[in-house]
Amino acid sequence: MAKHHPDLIFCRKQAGVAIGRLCEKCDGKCVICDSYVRPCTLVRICDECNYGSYQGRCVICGGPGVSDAYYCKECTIQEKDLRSNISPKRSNLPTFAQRDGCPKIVNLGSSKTDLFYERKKYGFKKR
Amino acid sequence: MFLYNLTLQRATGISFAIHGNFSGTKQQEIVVSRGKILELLRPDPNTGKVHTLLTVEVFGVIRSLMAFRLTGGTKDYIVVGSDSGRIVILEYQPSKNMFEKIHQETFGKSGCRRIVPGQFLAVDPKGRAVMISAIEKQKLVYILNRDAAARLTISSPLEAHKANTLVYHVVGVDVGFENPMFACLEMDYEEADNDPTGEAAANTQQTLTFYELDLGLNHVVRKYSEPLEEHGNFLITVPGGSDGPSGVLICSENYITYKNFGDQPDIRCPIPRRRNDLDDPERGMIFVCSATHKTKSMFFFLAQTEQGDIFKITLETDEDMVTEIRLKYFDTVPVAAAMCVLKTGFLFVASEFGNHYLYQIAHLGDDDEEPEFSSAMPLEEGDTFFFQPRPLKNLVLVDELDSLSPILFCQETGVMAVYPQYSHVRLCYSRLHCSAERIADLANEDTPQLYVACGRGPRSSLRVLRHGLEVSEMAVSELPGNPNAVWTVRRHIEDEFDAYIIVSFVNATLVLSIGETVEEVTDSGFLGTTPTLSCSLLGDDALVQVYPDGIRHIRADKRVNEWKTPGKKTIVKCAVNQRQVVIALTGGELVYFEMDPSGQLNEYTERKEMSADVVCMSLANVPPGEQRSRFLAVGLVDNTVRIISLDPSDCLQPLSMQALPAQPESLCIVEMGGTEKQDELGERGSIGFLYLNIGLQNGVLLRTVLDPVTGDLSDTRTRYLGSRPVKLFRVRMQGQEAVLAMSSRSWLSYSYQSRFHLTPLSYETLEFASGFASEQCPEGIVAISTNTLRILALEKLGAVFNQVAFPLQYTPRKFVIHPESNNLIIIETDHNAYTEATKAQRKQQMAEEMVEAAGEDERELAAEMAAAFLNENLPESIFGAPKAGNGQWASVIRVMNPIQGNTLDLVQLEQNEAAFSVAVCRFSNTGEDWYVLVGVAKDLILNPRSVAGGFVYTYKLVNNGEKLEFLHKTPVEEVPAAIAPFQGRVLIGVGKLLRVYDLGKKKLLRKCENKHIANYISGIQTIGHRVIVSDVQESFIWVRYKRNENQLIIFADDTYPRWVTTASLLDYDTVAGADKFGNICVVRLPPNTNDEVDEDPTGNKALWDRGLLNGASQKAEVIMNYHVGETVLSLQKTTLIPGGSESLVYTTLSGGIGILVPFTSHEDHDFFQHVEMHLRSEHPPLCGRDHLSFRSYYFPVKNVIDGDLCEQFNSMEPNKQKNVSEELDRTPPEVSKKLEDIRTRYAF
Repeated sequence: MAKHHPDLIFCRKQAGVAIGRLCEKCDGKCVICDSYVRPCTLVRICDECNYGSYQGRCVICGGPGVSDAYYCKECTIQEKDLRSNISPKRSNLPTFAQRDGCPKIVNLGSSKTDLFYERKKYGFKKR
Repeated sequence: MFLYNLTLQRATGISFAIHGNFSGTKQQEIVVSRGKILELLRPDPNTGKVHTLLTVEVFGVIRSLMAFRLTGGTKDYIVVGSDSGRIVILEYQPSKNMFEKIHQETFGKSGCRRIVPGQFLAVDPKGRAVMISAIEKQKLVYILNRDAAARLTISSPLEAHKANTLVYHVVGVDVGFENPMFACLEMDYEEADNDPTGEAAANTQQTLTFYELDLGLNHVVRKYSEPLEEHGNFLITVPGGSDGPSGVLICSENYITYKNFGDQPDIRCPIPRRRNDLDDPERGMIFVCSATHKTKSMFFFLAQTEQGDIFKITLETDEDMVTEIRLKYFDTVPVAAAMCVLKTGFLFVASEFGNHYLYQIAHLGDDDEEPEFSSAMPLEEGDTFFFQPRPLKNLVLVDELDSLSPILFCQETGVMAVYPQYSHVRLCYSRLHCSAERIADLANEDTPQLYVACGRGPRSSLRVLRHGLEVSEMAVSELPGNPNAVWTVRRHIEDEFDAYIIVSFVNATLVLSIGETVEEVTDSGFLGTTPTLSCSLLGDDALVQVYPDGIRHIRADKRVNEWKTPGKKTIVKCAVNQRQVVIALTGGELVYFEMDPSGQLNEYTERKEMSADVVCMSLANVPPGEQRSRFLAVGLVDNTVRIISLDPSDCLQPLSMQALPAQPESLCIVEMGGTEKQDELGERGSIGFLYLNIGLQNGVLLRTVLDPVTGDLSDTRTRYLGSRPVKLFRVRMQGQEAVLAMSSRSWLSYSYQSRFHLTPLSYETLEFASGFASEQCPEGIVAISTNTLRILALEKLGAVFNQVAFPLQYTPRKFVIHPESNNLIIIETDHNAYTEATKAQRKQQMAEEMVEAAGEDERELAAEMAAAFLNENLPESIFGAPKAGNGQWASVIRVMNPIQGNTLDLVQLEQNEAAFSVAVCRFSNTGEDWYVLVGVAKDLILNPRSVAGGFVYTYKLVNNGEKLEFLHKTPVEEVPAAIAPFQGRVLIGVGKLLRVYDLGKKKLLRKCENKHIANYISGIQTIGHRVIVSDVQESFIWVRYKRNENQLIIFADDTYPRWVTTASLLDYDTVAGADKFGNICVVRLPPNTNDEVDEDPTGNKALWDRGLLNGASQKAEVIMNYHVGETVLSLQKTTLIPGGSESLVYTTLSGGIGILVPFTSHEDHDFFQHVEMHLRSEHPPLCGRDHLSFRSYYFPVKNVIDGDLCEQFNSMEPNKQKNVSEELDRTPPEVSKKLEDIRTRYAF
């Protein structure tokens, strides 16, 4: 999802043994590129993102998870680096994924609302 | 062009070695890593031989290796740190003989990067946690535990990162059952980085840092950090808890220091040095590797210095406080990359270069006169102890593992090469490149040989490799006549060893008993006055002898039952095993006998008349727990083999039949391919397949699978063995059945590491053989050759090449072959070394100093000592050559006969002259004489690079290529690193200048020059008027020589920056090259390339005609790219088997030999592409590196299919094999047959 919402932020802490989940709506998506084809590597998230009430939540939208999340083959081959628009210097985030770190989206709540106002600010009509 | 990569011999150099009980039994095993290969070795404590149990290529770089065991466990696991960005925990499964990946946790990106962990591994000695560290910043700690089902679990990683720190070494500190602790040698560079004056950099100190894993808080803390006085290079854990004082030993330059966490004072001891050492005295001494031995009551360390001296280190303690470090000189062995002390009293030394050794520790060095050095002895700062190195005293060499590593140069000389295309080129090519291809087979054998220059320094050698299994001759004895056949029998089924050797002559039989000696006996019960057809042990303790007139059954109490042939018929052929005898009478009548429970041999009521004469027969061994073997194979004159049932329900009924291309000569049914297993009860058994081997009269061997239920024959594999009819004999090898096939050469067909091998024996032709087991030789062969009886042993099963090694003095750099005498001219060069002359001079000087330094009254003693010192001559191959210091070079030029290995001539160059290139050539202005040109650098300093110039030495080869006659030396301004003969003159690469020289009276005469090569010419290939220059860093440059204008003009180059190490021409437009990062590429000039370009001195040529950024205007195309994973140092296009097709042979620095073979059909290519694709997904590499990305490490892999991966098909589990082959619309045997076919078509 983050591919199409540039303001979403990945957790990117060192991934652990916890397995990422996806909700019914996001089921089948690659957590990086939103592809529905060729799921390949199981997503691991960090222990904090799997803690307490976060356990079993959707990696992308925070909804109740129904299935395991996967990276698609393409993202696996590319060792899908963190999104290329965040350079490590600027973001101050650790720079690694499962190879890059935990792909859980951490700023979900605010970004959707922000998006609404951002659109409004620039006068986009709501479709 | 599509190529298929095959490894002929895997890398032999060892980078890590760990030991443990990996199979979970009491026996200790060793796991070694050979770069990209993981191998399990088992030293046999009884024989002292090291056996390889399993070899797996992991398609990744193994950067660290550790063994660990969970608390209370009995089995060791293997942790692998690799370039995959993953930590992998492996378990060895003895039942399946494979490594199983238990855990694979991803933590970072792939590749050997600065901050991605994998370089260092440390485990808690109690097996509770493992730390994996990068070179810089990152460290991760994984907690290991067990779940309810006692399976190993792994936690999420805990971070122990510290920015701006470099890590030198990490070990787990033994703290008993307190919180796990890790000690790191670190250096913080933050201040040094921010200080432009360099003052901070000069003052930066290394620190010893302890990291504690708090198991309660699930957190890692940096507990304590302490600056060190010396710069340490590695750490040794000291046993702790109830076993010792805990803490670490820090090995640093000149000192070894004991440190413990807490307020214990440091204990420091200097590293002793050799007395009267020729080394540069300013040079410090460091330990390079260590091994720990720990029992319940004591522990000690063996640490090896960079000179190879091993010291035994013990710690004196006072109530768990270390008070003293004691060092004692133990022995000197070649410098090791890793050492392991085994509980059974063996020391495994994985040498840094050259062969690896297994020593038995005969003494612990406790009670001898050797002085002991202690930290408690008072010494001035900077002073040290001295000791006298000596030959082995405490260690006894028991086994040696051949290692070619490092291979610096290799040339294959074998079968005549044929160039079907480019016949015009071939002419000039062979004239100019006569070295490689004109010499068919220097030793005039029918097998090609690889001449390999390998090793380093005084341990280097020239090895001649021939395809074949090494045969060690245990005994040879002459017999009174020419025997026809030989067998061995045991006296009782429970016996381990054979009791008799039975030798059959034309009209007599000789029985020899095996004991301390082998001597003739007459009381064995065998009939001596007749030739024997076969004999065997029957039942538990009876013997049977089949001779032309009958069968003689000899019971244990020497009662003899005889069965006589009816009428005028005689027995022509027979087959026997432990319970059954089948004979064929003249006329093709089969008579079947079986032993009943009372031990009586009973004839079956019916006889079977065959349609044609019987030529050969075979019975399988009786399977364990069964009464009989169910199949009889009969070969008939009518070119068929028939399988006949021996089951009581349909006895002597034909089951199946196979037609043959020629008349069969010999048959042999064996059970092979099963993995040898030993279950808990100690029952040995194996589940293999039944194979029917058929030797034909035209020298072909067929191997067919025999269905154990129906007797159907399927999946036939064919191999041509030699010109004579193939005779087959069943022998035992490594506890399994194997087949010895004899044609004009003898071959052994055996299964080794779940792969079939059919290897020729490097031995003379044999006529008849049989298995042989005695105390001295548990798995041997007794064979006849003319009138001699030979007892042979085959020890190096699995080896592809048989080696003969000839020692050299310095590291061989290159050699050329003199085409007329076939002698090799080798240049050997070592950095940091003395020439013989300087060494003698230094020694003399030191001896004089010794005498001078002595006082008046000690003078006599000193003179004696000096004389002793001058006479002392320890072999440098073990004790190492003295290290002369930076910028000191020594070189020799050697003329060697490659067959006898004797040096015909040796030219010593002066100190600091380093030979880098050699060529043998003729000059058009001097007629038929051969000249040897050697390029020499003078006073070369590698870093920062400087050179005082170079020379080209010119020698004339005289005495039929046996002697070098010095002609003249030509000074040049840079290093002449490449020389190639060219149109009756020579091309010399002098630094970045490409020049043509001709022979003159006083020196070589410069004729022509090109200055436009980028950096440094590392190699020159020529073909016709074209010259292909390889630059050290900028790939290939194509140069055209214009004779009329006398110009060398660059007309094409490559688009990639390749750091070319070696190159080989494939045809007029194509060149194969290898680079120093382990890639092989083939580049080709496009067909429309114009090499008639003109130099453009006026600069008025259109801008677009010139290449971009001063490159050439025409560019070569990449045909193929492939990452081998080891630096390739030689490439050659050649044929490896007689009558085979051409392939590209490469050798690597780590001692591997591989080939790239072209696909001949599109179907094959398509098939293997799919095999590779399926294996990539179904059988991913063991250490977690993606296969595709490994093979594309530097350049995306192009047009090469990895045969090494494809051949792992055979080691996959059967159901996976089935899945993959179903996807390919084939059966698993068909797939493995395809794999075998492509291998045997080109190589072995």
